[in-house]
Amino acid sequence: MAEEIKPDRKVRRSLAQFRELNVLLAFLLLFIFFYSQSPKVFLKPANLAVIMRFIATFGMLSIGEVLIIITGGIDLSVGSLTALTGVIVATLMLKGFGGMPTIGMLPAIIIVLCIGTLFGLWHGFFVTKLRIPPFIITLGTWLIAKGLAALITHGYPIVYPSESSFLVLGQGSLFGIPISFIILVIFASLVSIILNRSRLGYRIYAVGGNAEASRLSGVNVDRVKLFCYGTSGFMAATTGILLASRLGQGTPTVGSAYELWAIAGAVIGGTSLLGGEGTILGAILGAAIVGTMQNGMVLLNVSSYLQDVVLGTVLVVAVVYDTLRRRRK
Amino acid sequence: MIENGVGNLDQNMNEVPMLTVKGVSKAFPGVQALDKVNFEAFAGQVTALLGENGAGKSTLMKILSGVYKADEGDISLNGVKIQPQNPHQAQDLGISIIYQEFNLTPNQNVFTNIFLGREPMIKGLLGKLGFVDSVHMRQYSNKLLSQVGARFSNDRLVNNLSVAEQQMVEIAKALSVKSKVIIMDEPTSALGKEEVKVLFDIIQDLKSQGLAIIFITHRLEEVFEIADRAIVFRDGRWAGEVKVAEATAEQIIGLMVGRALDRSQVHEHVMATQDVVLKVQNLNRKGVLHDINFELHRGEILGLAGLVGAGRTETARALFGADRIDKGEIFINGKQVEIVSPDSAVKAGLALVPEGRQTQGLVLIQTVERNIALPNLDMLSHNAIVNQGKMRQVVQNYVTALNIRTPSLEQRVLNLSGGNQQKVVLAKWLASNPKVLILDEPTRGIDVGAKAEVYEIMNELVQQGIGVIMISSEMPEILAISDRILVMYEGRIMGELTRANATQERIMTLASGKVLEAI
Ligand SMILES: Nc1ncnc2c1ncn2[C@@H]1O[C@H](COP(=O)(O)OP(=O)(O)OP(=O)(O)O)[C@@H](O)[C@H]1O
Ligand SMILES: [Mg+2]
Repeated sequence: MAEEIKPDRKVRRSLAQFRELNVLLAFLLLFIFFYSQSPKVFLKPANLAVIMRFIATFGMLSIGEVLIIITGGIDLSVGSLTALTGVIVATLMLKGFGGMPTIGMLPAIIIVLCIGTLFGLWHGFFVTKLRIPPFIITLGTWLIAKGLAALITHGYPIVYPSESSFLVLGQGSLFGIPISFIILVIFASLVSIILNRSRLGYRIYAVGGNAEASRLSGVNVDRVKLFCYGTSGFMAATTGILLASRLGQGTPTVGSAYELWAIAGAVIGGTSLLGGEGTILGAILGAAIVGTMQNGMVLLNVSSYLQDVVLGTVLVVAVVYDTLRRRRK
Repeated sequence: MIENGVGNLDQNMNEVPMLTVKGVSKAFPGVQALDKVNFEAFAGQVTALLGENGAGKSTLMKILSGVYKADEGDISLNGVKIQPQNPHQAQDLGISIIYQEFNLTPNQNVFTNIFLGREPMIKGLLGKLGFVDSVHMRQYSNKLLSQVGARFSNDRLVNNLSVAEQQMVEIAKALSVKSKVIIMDEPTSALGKEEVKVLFDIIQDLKSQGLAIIFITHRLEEVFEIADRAIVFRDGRWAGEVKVAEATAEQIIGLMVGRALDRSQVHEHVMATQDVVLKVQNLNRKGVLHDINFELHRGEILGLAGLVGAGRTETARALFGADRIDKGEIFINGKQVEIVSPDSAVKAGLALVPEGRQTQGLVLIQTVERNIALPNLDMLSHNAIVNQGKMRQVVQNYVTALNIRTPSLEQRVLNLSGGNQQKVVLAKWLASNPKVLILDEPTRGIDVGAKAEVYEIMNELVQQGIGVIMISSEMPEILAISDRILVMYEGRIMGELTRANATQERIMTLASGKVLEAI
């Protein structure tokens, strides 16, 4: 039965399985549209770099979000964590905590990545061991992290001197491609390989599809979820560091509503909020759509209020379309 | 009387069928589920619909009940053409159905489920405003529950009920609406002997009220007990119709599989050794299991018999680490093992085919391949990366061995027929090479041919020296397959019977909590 598939059917099937095709097409259309609207600016290397940095920010957060949403959860904390981790990295490097001496870039980054990961694991602990809904526990962190960021800085940004080598991460480019975008590609590939090829990835999808059946199949469901929440925290910290570098400061006001953009990116990219389905590629493309639209609308001088209206509409249309497509199948 | 071709049996010439299906077809991607089938059901009769797994039985029933739309063909009820667009409409027309896979909302209580979507409203204005008459609902559902022989309360949450109990809720739900036709898609597959008897009494009663009953089952003896006519489907086509009183089992099986099948699937291994592979000591779970002690030998098939709710499933789950135990030791090959979760059970060499295939056995939205691979990922991967070639090969082997009917390994199990889903659950655990294999109602809903196949595989496994524990509510099955039988009652092991001295009567005696006189 399985072997008798004719070649042309095989091609069609693999095309059909390339679920991100729609998202990719949507992205390309969008890209062409904005290009046609402002042909002089849009394709300029400087502007492309801006778009790529946008994509890097949301894409990074979307990676963690996809992992968690696949398991049937949600992470509302990442926006605030971005602010908190950005503030911490700046404090560690420029001021020192509570009179302690400042530390170098590398140790500061490592410490902040650990803090982000610990926040993620903390969510995982509540979700798995205490069965607290992910919505609630990450909403708690959303507030806590926001508050902590403001407390640490007393509300003022901690500004890097303009010659700091730290700024290369968020502002520098390699062969014309922003470093932050390269970092995104590396992480996205890594997590993609984990999801598609590793047994951990197989288990992540299974847990999202049916946690009880997975448990009874010998899957350590808690460990799988801990991995996903931990990774999301790690990604939030990475984003926080890159943003601090891009802005040249650790500021508590950054990252507001980023969790929602990240979730939107994941959902536009085909991740099912019911769990069990979603891909990194889709989420990155979703983030690319979000990033491109934000940039394009700025170029077109669309008011920021209208921008929100447009983005919200796109989100709804994408989800409705995806739901209908799924139902037809 | 077997008639080939379309048309009624002579006996029915003077009767007009209540429900007529003519030339109905239905295709799914890659599968022609139904190909111009005909079907008739008469008032006051039980019409059995038979066929192998994937023959198209449930598909036709779902068309009748408005879940699917037929690609072509006509359906008429009492001579009037109907085209139910959804289950609600079908119910209004008088067709109600007990689905093969339960259709209950797990987090709600029993009576809410029974009236789901048809809640009786309070009389008067309040009712018009949408207020539900919960007093009436409770009273009426109580009546229905006692009618179907249920012994649990109205207020229990459905996900706390056993599979058999959920089936009773489904039956009560079908009885709650006035119907002309009641479709029962494998209603007995989850039931024990006692519950089946109750169900058959209900069916007799409905028959005498002039309802047409459509009854799907894989247990032939039930056909002879309850059905008047049997219609057989094969590969989505109408394969024949018989009057049950004049037919033989061989005839019916012949129609089902298209050839004669050797039904002498007696289990003939003489492998049971004295080596103890599994030893269970003082297993206790408060209020559920009391002092469970037994040994399982290498190469032995140990049957666990008992009524629904006797604690068989609970024993299996406790052994497998699916439920917490309060006390007890488990030894595998003489070494004590700490089983705190299914994960550690699998590592210790245990495997459990659970009773609920859709809720516990399968990740429905995933493919056949992924489902079979899931418990075997360690074995199928190298350096944490899954070897997809090897996976495909192992999966394909079991799909072939168990004759799982699927257009491809990439088909989501959601789209397989009930019996084929069960085979996928079996496959994933058979592939896992356990030391001890625990099977909870393993042949539930699978056809005669596949059953023989499963027994065959069980035989091979015990030949290789693994120990098998099998829970089954099918008495003939447990008698034919087991080397030894433990009978449970209210969470205790009441007694042990050997292959030589086990009889239905003795099992029933123990299962109802009585002590056997000396054998
Ligand atoms: N929603 C669906 N999508 C795709 N294929 C389907 C779907 N439903 C059923 N099929 C296919 O149609 C065929 C008939 O399935 P059906 O459920 O009617 O079988 P059945 O006779 O009820 O079998 P069983 O005895 O196992 O319950 C099977 O090959 C099945 O895989
Ligand atoms: Mg069926």
